[in-house]
Amino acid sequence: MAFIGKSIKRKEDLRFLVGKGTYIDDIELPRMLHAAILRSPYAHARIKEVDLKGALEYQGVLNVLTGKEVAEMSNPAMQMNFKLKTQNAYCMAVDKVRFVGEPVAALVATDRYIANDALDSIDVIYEPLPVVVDPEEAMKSGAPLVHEEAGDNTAYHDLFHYGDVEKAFKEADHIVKERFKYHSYTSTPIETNGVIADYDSARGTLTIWANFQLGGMLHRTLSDLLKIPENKFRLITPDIGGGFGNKCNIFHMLLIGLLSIKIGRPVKWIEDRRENFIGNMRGSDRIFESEAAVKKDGTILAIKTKLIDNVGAYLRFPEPIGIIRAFQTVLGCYKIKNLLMDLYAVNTNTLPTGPNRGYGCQSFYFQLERLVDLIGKKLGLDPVEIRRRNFIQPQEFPYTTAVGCIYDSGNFPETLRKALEMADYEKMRKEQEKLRKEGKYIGIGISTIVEPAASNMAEFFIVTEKLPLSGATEAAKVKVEPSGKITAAVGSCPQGQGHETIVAQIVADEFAVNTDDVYVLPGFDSSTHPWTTASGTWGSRFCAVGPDAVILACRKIKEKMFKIAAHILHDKPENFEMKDGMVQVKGIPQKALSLEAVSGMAYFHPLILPPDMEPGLEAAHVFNFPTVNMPDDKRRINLATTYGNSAHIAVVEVEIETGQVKILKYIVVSDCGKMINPMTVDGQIHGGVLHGIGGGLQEELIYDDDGQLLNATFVDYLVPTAVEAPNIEVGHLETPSPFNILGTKGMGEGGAIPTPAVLASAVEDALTPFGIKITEVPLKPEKIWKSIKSK
Amino acid sequence: MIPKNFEYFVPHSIDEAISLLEKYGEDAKLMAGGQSLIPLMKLGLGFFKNIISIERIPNLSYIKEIKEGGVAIGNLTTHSMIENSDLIKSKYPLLAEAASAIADVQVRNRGTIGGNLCHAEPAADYPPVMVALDAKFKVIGPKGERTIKAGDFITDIFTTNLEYNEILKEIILPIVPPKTGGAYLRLCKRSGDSAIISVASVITLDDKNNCETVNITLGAVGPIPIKAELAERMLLGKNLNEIRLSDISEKASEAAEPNSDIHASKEYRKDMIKVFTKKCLELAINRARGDGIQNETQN
Amino acid sequence: MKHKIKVKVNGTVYENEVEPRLLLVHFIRDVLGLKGTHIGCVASKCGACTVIYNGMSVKSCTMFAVQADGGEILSIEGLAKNGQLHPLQEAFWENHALQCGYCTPGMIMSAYSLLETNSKPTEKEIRKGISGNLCRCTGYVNIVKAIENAAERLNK
Repeated sequence: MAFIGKSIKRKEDLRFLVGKGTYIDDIELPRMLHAAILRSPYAHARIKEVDLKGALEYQGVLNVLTGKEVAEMSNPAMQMNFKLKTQNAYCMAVDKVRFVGEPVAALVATDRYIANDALDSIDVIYEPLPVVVDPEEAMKSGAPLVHEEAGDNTAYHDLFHYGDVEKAFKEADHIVKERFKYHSYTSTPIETNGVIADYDSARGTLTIWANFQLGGMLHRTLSDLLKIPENKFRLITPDIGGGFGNKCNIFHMLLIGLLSIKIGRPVKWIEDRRENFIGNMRGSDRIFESEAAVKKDGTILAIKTKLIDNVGAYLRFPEPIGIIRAFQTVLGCYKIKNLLMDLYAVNTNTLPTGPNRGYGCQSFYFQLERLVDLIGKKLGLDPVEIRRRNFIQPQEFPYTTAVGCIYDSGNFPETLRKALEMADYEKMRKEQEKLRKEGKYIGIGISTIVEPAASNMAEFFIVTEKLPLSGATEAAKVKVEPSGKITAAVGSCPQGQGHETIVAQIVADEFAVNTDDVYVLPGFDSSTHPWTTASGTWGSRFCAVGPDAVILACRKIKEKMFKIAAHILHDKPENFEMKDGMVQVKGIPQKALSLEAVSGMAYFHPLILPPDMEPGLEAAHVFNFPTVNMPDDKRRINLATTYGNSAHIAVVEVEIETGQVKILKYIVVSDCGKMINPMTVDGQIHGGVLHGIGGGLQEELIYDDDGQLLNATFVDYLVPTAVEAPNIEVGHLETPSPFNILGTKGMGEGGAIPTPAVLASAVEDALTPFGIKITEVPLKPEKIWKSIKSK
Repeated sequence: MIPKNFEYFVPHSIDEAISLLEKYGEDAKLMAGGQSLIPLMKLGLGFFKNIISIERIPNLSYIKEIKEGGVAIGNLTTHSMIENSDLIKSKYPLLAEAASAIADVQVRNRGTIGGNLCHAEPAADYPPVMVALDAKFKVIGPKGERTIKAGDFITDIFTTNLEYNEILKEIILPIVPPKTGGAYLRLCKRSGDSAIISVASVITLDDKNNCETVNITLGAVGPIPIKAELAERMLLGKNLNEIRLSDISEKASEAAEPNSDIHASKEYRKDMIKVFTKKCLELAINRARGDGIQNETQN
Repeated sequence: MKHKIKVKVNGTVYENEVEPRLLLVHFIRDVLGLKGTHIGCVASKCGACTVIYNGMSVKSCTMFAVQADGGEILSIEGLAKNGQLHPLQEAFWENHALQCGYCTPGMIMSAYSLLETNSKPTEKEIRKGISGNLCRCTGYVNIVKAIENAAERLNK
């Protein structure tokens, strides 16, 4: 293979390097207007009156939109809280606001400065209501009700039992019990959300441009909610400045779409950063009450978990999938056979949650990996050893976990061994001892994780029968043009993952051409790109399901080309291969036709083709990952497609006077199967790890008791700069997945998911002489300082 | 993200600027680099009807030795210029340290020392350094020039001694006696963040390593910079071998009653004053002794 | 009241009448149509808007266009000359120092400024030099490598 496996320069980079990327705010349309959104300053209040007279009279303002109109013009988005008789999740508050930042009104004006100014002329009268921010408080009787008709604030509750937990606890030699708290943070891509909507009343069509990650998946939903026939709705995603799960919010598209429908002109809205913090979405904060049943040899028999997930004011689709998704990783790399999970999603008057890089897995790994460390400590076992004793072994793959996930392949002991080697683990431990005597506190944290990719949509059946979804699909289209150049397209909506390059590498190898001869359509366009109802770039999915769609589309064309060549050169199709851009009989270079010659015939000269052959050289393929299944009667289901794995090792120094944590070394060994472009894999790991470091050490969304977000700008929300970022060393293993053609596994979130856990582990290790146990993140200096002082 | 509209004036002389201040009174705001002002306006936290941009007034951007001894800095001198000035780095390293701690390169290229001092934000870096250095500020108004001591300049949060029609023109740093060392240290979350606490100290030793003069000023722990006078008195006149820096820094932490906020509690801040005062004094003393220890640019 | 301004951007002089409150970044993007300079935040922290103004890196979101009157600006569009990429652009490309590309123009302009003032920066100096530019994709690892690489190329 000339290109697969090679770290070639990315094809998409040139336009970004010279400032010619096309991001949403770069797009201008004739007669385009600008929208501004008025947002609630209250976390919980009844809307008594919205007076738009001032706005309508404001010079330059052309139209306005109220919640009442929204409720008439659109359908509410589904909330999987079945206690709600009225689905009340509109893109604007109708009679009540439930979180600070919830849209209350919107207007359009001739330019963005006027639109912003005119917001001051809208008068809203609120009747403030009592606020509940803490999920445990929200669960108490007498708590303010976020949705009155639900009767309480528990938006979702279910109990899952796998194996025989009671028996396991009876057989245990030790029980380890702990309470963990995981905080809310968000990945803040540097580009905020933006939408342009253009309703053409003469055609009855609506086109929306948006930097949205889930184009294919939510195309139908958007058209339904906007009451536009699906075949008249076009969704286009241009270049996207980072996603990380934060660009999955449909509500902005609904709002701007409605404004354009109302006014009949293109409307643009670009979110500002403060709006992004208060009005977009956030990763959920969670409380785990956890117990593990353990044998004295270290075998973990069972885990019991009670989870309280603060999902914010609305159980926004796809919640509670953020909990269910974590089942993909709840048992990690370990052979734990018994699991009991009591799971609550609770409404509070805070920003609704959504996918945040790692989407639910990082908090479950915090529980799991911390438990494993604490178990090791209890039994006097090194964190390496306790993990080794519980690993699924290489010969056991494919391995079906207690929840039904079919781990395809992996070599967990080898991944860990390689990481330990890179970290020079034994030497680091000796160094640690020596430095401790000098009053320096170094700690080593270790975490081993499974990285799931591409969710099986049948996970929705775990929550409700009302959403019959299943599969993990992706679509690709390939065309050999009449000139012999190749065009390809996929249904992903990339936000920096390099799909234009990766797809070109695959196609180039299939046709034995150069990647320069392959053009991959950028972005996503529901009218021109192939897609399925799972399409988008989310959940680390692309390389789990994308390559096969591309390859199989290519092979459909190749099959046709070999038939054409065989017909022309009087040979058998099965004797042909692609070699150096030629359709050639294997081993006989003289018996060959150029790609251009074959495609020329296919398009211009159909009479020369084999009888009954359809002219042209274009094919599409939709791939569904073979191991996805439906839940069985015990609610076991393969929730994802491929399962990579990695080992993270963090070496930190804790300055005990100030509590500050410095990362001295950060090592990742990643196994994501066959890598198509290793350089881009490393890039994803670097970025993911820094997201996790930010979340683990310093990023935290801080709400006060009135539901106000106290740090809604980058001044006080602490995204790491290059100074705080450590160097990240990456090593690789490649155990291919047996379930797709190349053996590729999806990846992208893996860097972010164990990081807070591994840093907690390292800090706890550093502070061993003080006997401090870490059960919460972020690891803020003051918190560490306080724990040390208390000893 | 969009500031409200305003009228904009660009005087080309100090006199012109003062006339504009007189004309518009309370509705006027001076702007130099705008690095503090513009973000406030964009966040809707500040609205100014008339902005007087003084950055085109010539001859206000300089760092020069003055014939009486000491150094004069023009109010439009940027943080970058101060950070990179060999003169400041060698004679007043704590001022270079303060400058290089401010935000980031882009902000330092536009932000000015005059703007920073007049904005009088409690966590600002220059104010405690100016007090520790016993700097003097030359201020000009319609009645002419006057000189204000650094310790008297900032009177409350975002409030200075300036009359509405006065402009801070120049900062005068005193002569550096031999065996003088100074340092500025701060605790912050990330590179470029506001200080959670900061300490500036300047110490002069005699030949026998007795402390001849000392100045310890705390920043970011009150509305205005706080001189830790009792801590200074513990050190004054003493020989370095007789004192314990931990006692002095303990005393220094008693000088302030900081607030708690989302970034740090009052208790943590008080403890950090202790930690950082000790480190700051160590560094200042080493420099005074001529040990040649350079502080690595923080963060 | 609008003000007349004259600004040279990437070698071309533009004369316009603008409101005093028009941010320089909006002037560059919306008035001049140069979309390569980006907006990522509201409190002057992310650096995506970084351009070179009178030879120094500045955040164009924290300047009014009127302040740039008579000045000279270099934005990302002006870096490549006659189709030839600047060594920084080459180095970013080869070292995979960009993923989504959104912070990239600002990052490159900051790096440009850094290398103009310090032609052989250490890793620490590079990290401090770009501390005014946030990136969420790359973890900065390859950005630092690219700047080191560009420095080598420029020093040849």
